[in-house]
Amino acid sequence: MDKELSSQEVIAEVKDVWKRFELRVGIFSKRTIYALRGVSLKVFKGETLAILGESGCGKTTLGRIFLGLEEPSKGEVYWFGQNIKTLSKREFKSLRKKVQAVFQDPTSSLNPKMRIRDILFEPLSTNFKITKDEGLSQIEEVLKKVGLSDKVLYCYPHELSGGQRQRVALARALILQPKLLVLDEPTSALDMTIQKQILDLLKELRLSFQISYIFITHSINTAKYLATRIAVMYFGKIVEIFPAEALGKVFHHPYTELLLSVSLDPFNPVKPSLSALKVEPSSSFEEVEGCPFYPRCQYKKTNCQTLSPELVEVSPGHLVSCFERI
Amino acid sequence: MEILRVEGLTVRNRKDNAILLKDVSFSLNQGEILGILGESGSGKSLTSLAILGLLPPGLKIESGAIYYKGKNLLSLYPKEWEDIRGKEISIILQDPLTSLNPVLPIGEQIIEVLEAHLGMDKRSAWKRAIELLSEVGIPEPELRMKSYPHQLSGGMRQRAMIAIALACDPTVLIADEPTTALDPTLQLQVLELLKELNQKRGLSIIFITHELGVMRYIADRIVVYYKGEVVEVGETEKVFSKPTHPYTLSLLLSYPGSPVSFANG
Repeated sequence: MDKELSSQEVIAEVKDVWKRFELRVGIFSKRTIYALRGVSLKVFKGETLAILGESGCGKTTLGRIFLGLEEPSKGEVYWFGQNIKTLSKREFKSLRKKVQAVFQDPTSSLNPKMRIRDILFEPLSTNFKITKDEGLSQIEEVLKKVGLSDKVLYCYPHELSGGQRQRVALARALILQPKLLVLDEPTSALDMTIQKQILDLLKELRLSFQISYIFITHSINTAKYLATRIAVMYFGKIVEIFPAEALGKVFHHPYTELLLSVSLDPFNPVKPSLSALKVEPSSSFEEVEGCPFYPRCQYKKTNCQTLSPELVEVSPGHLVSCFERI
Repeated sequence: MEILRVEGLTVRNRKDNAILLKDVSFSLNQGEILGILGESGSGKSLTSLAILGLLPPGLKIESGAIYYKGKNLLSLYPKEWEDIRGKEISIILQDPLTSLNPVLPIGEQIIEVLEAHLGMDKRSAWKRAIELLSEVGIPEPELRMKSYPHQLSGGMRQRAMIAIALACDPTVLIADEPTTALDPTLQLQVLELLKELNQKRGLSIIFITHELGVMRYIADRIVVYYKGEVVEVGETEKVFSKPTHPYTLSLLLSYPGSPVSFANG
């Protein structure tokens, strides 16, 4: 087992995953979109891995593949070292509780016709033989962990505020004591004062529950705040992986550099560079040969148009896919 | 020079008598970008609707006035509104896909405005529309005239929206979260465009947002809203370096990675 050799335990892994979607345009014609183009990524125990990218780059699809909600068109997904394709139904179910999710909008991810107590009891009843009364103590405990009082037990989701609802969604994911939590933009539907509270709560829970997070976000700033490692995606590919503390301190991939240069920090207002902004991002329909970032890149060379760069480790923990940076 | 002034505006919901805006006052100077900062439900968008006379019928303006070039907008007749709304004061909204007409090419949508407000004939309106599209930085404007909204990228759509809003050469533009639905790279492009229009045309802008970074980047002065009330008004630099109201401070501290020293100072 080569995984044992690495100092860190791998919780989940995807290997060369491709995801193709067929879109109907018109009556007879179809178009193919590649949401993921050969992604390999490991999640280690206890880390917060941020997946950073703009809309349409495939970050949500990657999250769903990690969750087993979407089957890759090509490539393998591993949970705790086991290929989930080869698992029996029963084995899959027993591992499924260890991998949970929190989605962007708590209003649509919580059943509006169920009380909070029932929402939180559902994961328990589908996984264990447990009566409602026995479940109550566990429910109360997890509510306390996410900072809600047991007054909310008999409320419906619409009676709670957005922040409280997201805490319920978090409690529902945590009640099964997962080892991996996929957080898909968990704060972007919330008000800014609430966002910070949820981010701080997530930080705290990671330590007390000893879980790993996959944190999907488009905001470089929240990634920096929460993550221990950041993977930057562009056009269905991972273009860079680096430890979060290295952000802005190393030679980044030109795309990460662009993201950094356009992020507006209210407490450090530097004039963003506008030179790289002239070109519009390409659409995901287009087939690309060579580096996907080529049209927008300010360092491009002629061979970037035909050759596709691989992810290469340039310093410990820092991987870049760019000819210019190797 | 002051161009627009909101004075003691109070708005109530007719149904449950809840106060939605309470004694809101601020003013917009000629050629300035005024930021309105607040969380959702704080009344930012409601204020912009009131300025355009577009409050939904369920809401009632209880007291206050909105002066535009010395005239109280709240006392206008519907017919008089037509000369102001979309012509002197226009608005761009958060999501261009829902505010553009999906079955009409964007060129037509600009021409519509020019014909209705300025009485242009089709041919000169067409020419003017192309000029507007190129002014907001849409490449190949002649071709784009015939594009439908869904054929444009998010950033292009927002530019097309801005072109429509600028069609009648307004003095005031209300931008209600115009970049929230956009990716960071596109966001900056749209912000730059608005800044440029502000400088070149002397366009006065009311810019509504909840994003602190955007606010600091674009606004000259800031109005901070909290639960339907204005809690702080000040120069951008001052609000960010020395906020006076505790709510403003809590907003600034909610930014992940805001400097800690700042809380004590």
